[in-house]
Amino acid sequence: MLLTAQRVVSPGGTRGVNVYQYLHGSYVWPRVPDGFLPDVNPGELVNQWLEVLPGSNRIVSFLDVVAPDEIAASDVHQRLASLKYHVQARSHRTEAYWDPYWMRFGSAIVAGSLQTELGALAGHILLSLTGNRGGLAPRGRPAESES
Amino acid sequence: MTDARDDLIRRISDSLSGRPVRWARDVVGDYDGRDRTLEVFNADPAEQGDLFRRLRPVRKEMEAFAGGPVIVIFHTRAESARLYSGFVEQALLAEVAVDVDIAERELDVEVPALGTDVVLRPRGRDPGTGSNALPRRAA
Repeated sequence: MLLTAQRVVSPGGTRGVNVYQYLHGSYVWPRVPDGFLPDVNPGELVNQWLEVLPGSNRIVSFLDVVAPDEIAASDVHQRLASLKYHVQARSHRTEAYWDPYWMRFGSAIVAGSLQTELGALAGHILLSLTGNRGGLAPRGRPAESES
Repeated sequence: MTDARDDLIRRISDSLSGRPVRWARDVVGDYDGRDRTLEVFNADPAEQGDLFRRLRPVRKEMEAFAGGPVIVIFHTRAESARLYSGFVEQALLAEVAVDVDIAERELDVEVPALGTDVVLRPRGRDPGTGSNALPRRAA
């Protein structure tokens, strides 16, 4: 599975983050094989969540996350939320294995904001996967009265 | 008090790589420290030792807040998903919402492009009908 988020700016200045989900099939790996890295084999596109219609938009940052298709959704969600703690985006292009995941982050955004941008793109993927793209949760922690 | 409580919970979660945490409520069983129990979610057995060590820098503060030694309960990913999915999902969404919000507000739209995006076709009813290309072309 490849999960991709791209921050884009349209020729007219509209901006947004588009999210894509690809599947590779029922493969299991301890470390992502080279043959499943995005430039070699992104998989088959099965879902897309578009804030800006694609076609000729400038991409200012992107995040690619590869994981086995069959991995538990709860694991994917926690990894996405933890990504900014695990990966230090010190340059404008960062690649890292986080077995059995692999990630690549690219950004043209200024260095001081790289870690925030990494967290934001991972967040957009998480929001898309959980069907919460329309309304973000409040900035504080949720109420603790839930189960 | 609520702000201080939320701030401490946020810093504890940050020290655990964004894992959902909360002060326990309605814990089963009667034991000393029942009202000083911290729950940590999405923490599998192999990770718990490291996570416990990562709490050391905030332990004194946790104890001062709770009024005594703090008991930590770790919930595995499977149990977190099975029993506490509502709380865990909301906590993770709140965690990422902060960066989503900041990044949107601070975005400089004049930054140079890494590439341009392309139109793709998602899978239809049948497997094999979706695009097999990345949604970008290098600049």
